[in-house]
Amino acid sequence: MNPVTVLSAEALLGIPLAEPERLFSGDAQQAKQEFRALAAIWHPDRRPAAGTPQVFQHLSRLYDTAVRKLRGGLWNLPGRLMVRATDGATYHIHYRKAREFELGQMFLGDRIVAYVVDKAYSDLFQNALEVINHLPCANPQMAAEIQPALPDIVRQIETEDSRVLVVRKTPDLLLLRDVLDHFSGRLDARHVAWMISSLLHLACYLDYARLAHNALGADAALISPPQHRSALLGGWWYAVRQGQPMRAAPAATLQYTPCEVIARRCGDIRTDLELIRALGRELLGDVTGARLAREKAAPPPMLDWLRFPAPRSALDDYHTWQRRVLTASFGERRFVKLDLSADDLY
Amino acid sequence: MGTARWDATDWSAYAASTTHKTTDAVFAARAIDPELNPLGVALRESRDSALNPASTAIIVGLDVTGSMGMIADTLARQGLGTMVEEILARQPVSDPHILIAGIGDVLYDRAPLQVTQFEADIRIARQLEKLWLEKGGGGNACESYTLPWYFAALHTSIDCFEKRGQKGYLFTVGDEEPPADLPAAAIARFLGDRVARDFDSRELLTLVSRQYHIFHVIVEEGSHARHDPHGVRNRWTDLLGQRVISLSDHRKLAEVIVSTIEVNEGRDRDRVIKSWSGKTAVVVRRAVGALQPAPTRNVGVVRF
Repeated sequence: MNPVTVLSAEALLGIPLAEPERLFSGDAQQAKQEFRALAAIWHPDRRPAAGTPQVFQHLSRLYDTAVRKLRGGLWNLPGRLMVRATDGATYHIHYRKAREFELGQMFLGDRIVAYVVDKAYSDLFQNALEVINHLPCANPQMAAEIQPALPDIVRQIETEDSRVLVVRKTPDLLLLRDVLDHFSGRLDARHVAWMISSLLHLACYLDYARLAHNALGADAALISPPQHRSALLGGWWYAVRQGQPMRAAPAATLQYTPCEVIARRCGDIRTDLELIRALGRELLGDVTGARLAREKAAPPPMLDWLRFPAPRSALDDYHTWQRRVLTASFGERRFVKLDLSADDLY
Repeated sequence: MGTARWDATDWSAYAASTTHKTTDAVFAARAIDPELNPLGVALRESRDSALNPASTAIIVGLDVTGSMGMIADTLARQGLGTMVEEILARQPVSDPHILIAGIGDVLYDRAPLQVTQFEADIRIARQLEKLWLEKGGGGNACESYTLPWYFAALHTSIDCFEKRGQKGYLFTVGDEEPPADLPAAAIARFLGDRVARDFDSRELLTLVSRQYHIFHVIVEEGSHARHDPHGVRNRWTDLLGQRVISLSDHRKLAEVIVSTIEVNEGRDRDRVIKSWSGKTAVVVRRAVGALQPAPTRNVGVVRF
């Protein structure tokens, strides 16, 4: 049992209602005992001093949240997520950073990413499983090249309220959103360039697989600074075969989807190519692109590529980028070191 | 630009001064005015200011080919005042900054695009009357309605979007069909941009839609629209879907634009229609009767 009875009124009131883990144990019985012990001290009948009703009311709400969380199967301690599955098994997921995303929360560890998806989106979760489990590769050589960039499912867990997808990652991979935040929302164009190269390479694979990912952005993609590679581990909830009806999409995706794709609502690689352009603009500091030319955020050929519409073929886009845009923007290719690791971010 | 505020008195005086003038007298230019020439223009800017702290960029592109000069003429004499004053009174968007564009045909005309500044006061009218009504166009069944799309996408900078993520509005107005594409050579010739390839209209729509709500207003009284009404409507609908607005009386363009903005911003369509009286309500009903509001969410998930 946690030593809850030693805490002052100020300390108790300072615990956010969404974080009962900071007060109670992650076990329903123990939490109940702890609440009883607290009530014995803070119930207005026991201590009618001024301010006590507020403390007890806060404690009651914290306890209600704790009960709800424990019933739902998720208990989030600093750096450790406890997941209680509906089959009774308990899992401990160690993480460095938790982030909200549009379907729930993601937990980034050194060797895994856990996506906790609200059960209201079970159909999208199931869609991700089916797509990820059937990602094609023509031969072992292609598999060796592309698989490190694709999600490798470690485990999927069902809790009372959520579904949890745990995918493998290597410690060098960093969530692009965290990288962007680290650099205060603006990266050097030379780094953005290699990130775009890597993402376009992924888009070529998606086109080969006849898929549209539909959520290719800073919350779905991870990058490896030492290897100049990226991995698309998140966002597969919305992936569909090209030409097939889309089930759903993040609202942000629809900001950049070609108008005719929105009208038809079918999977189309141009959505991913437009999202890569939007991401490139975002990494340079202005997703609208309106300020980039004025601020000379990148060489003009790169800015033109980022602002103009995407073609219909990922391969054509990749070739244009590699053969024309990169050379015209930066001259001869060379490795530009980005000195950044998980320890810098988390 | 757009630092001043609309004054109804200024407008009344201006409108009165046009009463006894012919169209040729109001629109006296016989060549493109250098101030309206888009060649080499880096940016037209719509900026917030003390008088217009939450500006909204609105572009109205008028077909000035053939007989379509009547649209500009009516706007200069009457419509402009109605448009600005109704937007200010109804407030579907805040602090309108209006840029007027003249549209022709890149294949046949000497000035297929003319662009004023974004303005908020009587200077809108002063610049509108500088338009050259070239009265050109050709026999290709389309005008270069997508040239202002390109210009808006790459040569405007608007605070409503850059500061607040709120799209501006772009209306093109005319009686012909949309072009299939915009040649790189035309972009270079009339705007000065060296681009690597031609752009088809769908690509340009994607490009400009990042920053603007796009609508096309079909002038049903125009000769081409009367000759092939279904063809014109179908080709525009194929490109823009429900964002094609039918204008049965060109004198009601301002009311139709204001109503379109209101519905797009989520106001009840029937109430918007009923807010106008008599014949105006009939024209507005025909124009926006099928229009749906724009999706307002930019976070979370959208299900199909």
